[in-house]
Amino acid sequence: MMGRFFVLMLVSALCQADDIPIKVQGIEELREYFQLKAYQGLRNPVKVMVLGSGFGGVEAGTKLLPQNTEIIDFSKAPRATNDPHDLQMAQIVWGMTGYAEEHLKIVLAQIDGVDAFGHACQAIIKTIRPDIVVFSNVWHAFGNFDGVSGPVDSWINEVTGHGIIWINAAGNNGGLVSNQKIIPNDFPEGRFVELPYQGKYLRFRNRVDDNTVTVSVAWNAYGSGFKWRGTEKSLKLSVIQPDGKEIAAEVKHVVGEPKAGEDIHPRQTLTLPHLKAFGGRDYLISLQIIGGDFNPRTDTVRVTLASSASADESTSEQDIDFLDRTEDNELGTAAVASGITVGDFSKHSAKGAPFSGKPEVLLDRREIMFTNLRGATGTSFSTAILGGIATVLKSHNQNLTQRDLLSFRSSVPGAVLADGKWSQSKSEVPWSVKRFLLGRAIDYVVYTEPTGIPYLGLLSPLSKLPGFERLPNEVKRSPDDYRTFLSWGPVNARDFGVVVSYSGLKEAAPSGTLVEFGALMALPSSGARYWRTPTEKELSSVGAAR
Amino acid sequence: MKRVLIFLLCGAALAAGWQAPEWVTSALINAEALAKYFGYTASKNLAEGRVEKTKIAILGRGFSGLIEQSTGDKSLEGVWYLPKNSVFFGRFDGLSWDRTSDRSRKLAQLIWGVTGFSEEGPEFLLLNARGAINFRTSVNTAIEWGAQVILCTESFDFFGNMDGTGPINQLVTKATGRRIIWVQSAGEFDGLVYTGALSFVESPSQETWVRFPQGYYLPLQVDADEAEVQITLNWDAYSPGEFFEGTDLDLDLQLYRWNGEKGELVKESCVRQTKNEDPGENESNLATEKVSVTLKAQRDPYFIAVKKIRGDFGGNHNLRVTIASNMPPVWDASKQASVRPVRLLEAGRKGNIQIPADSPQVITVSTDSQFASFGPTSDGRRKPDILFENQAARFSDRSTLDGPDVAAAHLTAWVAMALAAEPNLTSDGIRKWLARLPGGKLGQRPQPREAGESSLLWFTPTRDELKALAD
Repeated sequence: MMGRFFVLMLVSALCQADDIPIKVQGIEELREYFQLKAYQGLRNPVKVMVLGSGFGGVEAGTKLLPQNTEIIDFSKAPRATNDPHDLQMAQIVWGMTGYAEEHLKIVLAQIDGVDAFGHACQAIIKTIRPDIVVFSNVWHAFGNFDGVSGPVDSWINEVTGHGIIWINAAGNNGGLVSNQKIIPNDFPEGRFVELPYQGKYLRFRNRVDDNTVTVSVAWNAYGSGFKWRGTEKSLKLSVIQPDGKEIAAEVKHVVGEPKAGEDIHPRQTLTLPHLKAFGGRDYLISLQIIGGDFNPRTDTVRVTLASSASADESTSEQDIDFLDRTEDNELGTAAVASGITVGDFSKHSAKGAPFSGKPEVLLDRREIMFTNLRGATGTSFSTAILGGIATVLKSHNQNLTQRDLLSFRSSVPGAVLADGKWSQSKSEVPWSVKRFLLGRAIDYVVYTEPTGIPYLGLLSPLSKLPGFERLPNEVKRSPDDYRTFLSWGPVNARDFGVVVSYSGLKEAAPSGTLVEFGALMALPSSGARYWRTPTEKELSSVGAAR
Repeated sequence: MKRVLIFLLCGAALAAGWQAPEWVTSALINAEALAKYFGYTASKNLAEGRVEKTKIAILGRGFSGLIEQSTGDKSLEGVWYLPKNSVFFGRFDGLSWDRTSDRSRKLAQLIWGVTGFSEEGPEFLLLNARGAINFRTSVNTAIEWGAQVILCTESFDFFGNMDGTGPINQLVTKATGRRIIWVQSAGEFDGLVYTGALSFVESPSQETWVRFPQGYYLPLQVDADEAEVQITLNWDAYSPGEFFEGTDLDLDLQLYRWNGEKGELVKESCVRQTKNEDPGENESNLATEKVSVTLKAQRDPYFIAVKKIRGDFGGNHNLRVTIASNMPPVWDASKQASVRPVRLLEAGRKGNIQIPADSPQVITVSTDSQFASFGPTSDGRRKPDILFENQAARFSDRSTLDGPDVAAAHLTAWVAMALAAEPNLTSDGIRKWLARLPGGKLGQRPQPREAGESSLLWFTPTRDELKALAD
């Protein structure tokens, strides 16, 4: 297989850290935040593959990555790209190692779609044999949302089955997904998938004029195994604007070689440029059944929205509001497979299905700035951070497995563990709060002062609670962020947090009662999903028996 | 009772006047608030029904979303931002327009909104004026079209003598000579420009160098890696008259980096200046040198040096060094202010007005915003001609624009309404009015202050005052 592909180039000459033209800004502080300071350099060889389609800017002599970095192009149609997204991921991985040169081998694997992805996975298993794969792509289609069937997820499962650690981004589809059973519903104009609004529609509101909105639909019509077989189960996607104009995607689905206007993949996509807000009136999405026998018990369809605009910073109003979204199960193909899925605390970070345990890791640092002052955010970059941490740990203990990595998680966020970072400022815990919390099994409590400064207190055990400790502002900035921060994972009766408004505290504290806690909210906490880097001693004990 | 009724009717008419038509893809959303802030409601009433005929040319470079007149673009069918009779010419012989920017289009949207969103107009002609060649073509096109007002946001760091003369300003004079009112943005060059009197100093090796405040060098601070930086040196050796003659006053531009022991040459520009109409290889008849280079962040500054090669620089001469980079200002939390990652450490907070904003023929508009440009010009004239508070324009696509370009669009909107009411109004008439205003007397950066409910720098003339100005 490797014969088809070729090593494009060896990147850059020997370089010292000072010669690196673009670095991650504040990388030492980031390493310290994730408790990597104890690990100086790499101890044993480790090979990391960054798989992606955006390596723009990697050219011979640029010194952006270690001298022995390889690029392997698996693309069907290799072409130049300016997108630096995956190059930046590799730079973060390298940065997290402290820009180690010795013992580190980075492989950049360029792909341009799912076929190239399959070829890359074959090469990973047979020839490249990396220790760790870091992948930020999440596809809305190409899988059955179950992490088991469909070629993409099957390939990832095969890779991890060979003992290779796979670290995958959760994706940024949070709040933008609707999962529905495919139950046929007959109307005079045809047979449609039964949807929540008027039996036929999903609704969304576009809040921004001149927005570009993409509506992607996929259904679970893939077989098992590694081949794309095609399907005759076909859905037509239509979007009806508030002014009555209808736009449709009518690709026909087939088994075998597709002709023009046909597709073997069970999906439809509509990109709607220059979309108007129409005063916040509803856009309607319908799915007409145009072929195949759908099974209402097993067949499901997923509708995912994406938008080119962003939330209004002054009001926090979102750019699009998916009124008929479903609450969880937002992870796309690749993120649902057997790798470690990494999310963050933003509301855009995709959630997993209930009881799936995904995403396995949530990182509370999500903004990366490079020294060329370009910023990066989103779950991809959290994935790269964890990829870098895993690289360091794997190098210091070559027995480390994916399962071992998961054992290092904690039920408290990283900010709590970054000792000394936020302990200078403490606020007295009002007695009223303590009294309220007594008898409740609560891990921590978060509240904000009128100034917006957030405090976090560990309540385990409550009798030792010293006070609320001030959180660094860069971690969380508003009560809304905390709600998102605390809203992760399935509810566990013994493991939840509370958000309390300061106004409630102020009223309640003098009298010692809690009656006036108007803004008190009980929310599920994350469980053990926060990252905690092990000490060298802990790491050394891992896998010794194996 | 009658008075109350009239007042209510007027109020209703005004309230109905700032709503974009249904068919518009995106529009200015604070048109009414802006019009009230600057007191334009009365002007709008005076212009009612006539502003649609006012012809406004927009000279800029960012027109994303508009259909080019010469080519058409089917993907943009049904996409509207401006009155449907608006015309956009993007393709001239010079540089292509900036397809990543919609700034110039949005300035036209601002003017349309503030003047009342009439479906019939004002009539807009949008022209790609990027680079000297397109600028010339745009000016000629605007003249031929019969523009009454030109709003120009393009600035040049060479092609002029910094005193309002030179080839670019000749074109301005041509347009204003045809009674076109030229409204010019001052631009935002604070921190990027050094302007000074030209004097020389001999080095021990008997080379002649330009003297800067700190000696041979002008320090350039770079705080971002991979910064693409263009350094332009310009001196006042352009023919001030109608005909272009070239110059043999020759200077070279060099950029150095301090390596801890000595300066290392990073890059230089050594074009030979000539009076030849048809310059040869590595020759130019323009009084300018340019260096384009990608720089890495450094704690110590880089150094710009200018070497005299030949020519008699007798008398008073001025030179200017201008920096351009791909690095926009970033927020510095420690300073609680925006800072430029690439900046000239000796840049003055004034004297950074560019060409053609330095022309005496144009009405130069600036704001009290952080990076706005201010005069005086090299010949000592006060610029800008009018200063506005920095009032942001907000659009329904959630974008916001502010700064001198937006202020220039605010003034253009008023000029359009004033011309509709008094077609005989000229630049001179407007200047008379500006001279009476607090914002027309300042000519320097005011202290920042809290925004009030209405402008303290600009007042709108009454009907009688406007009539007197036109007379």
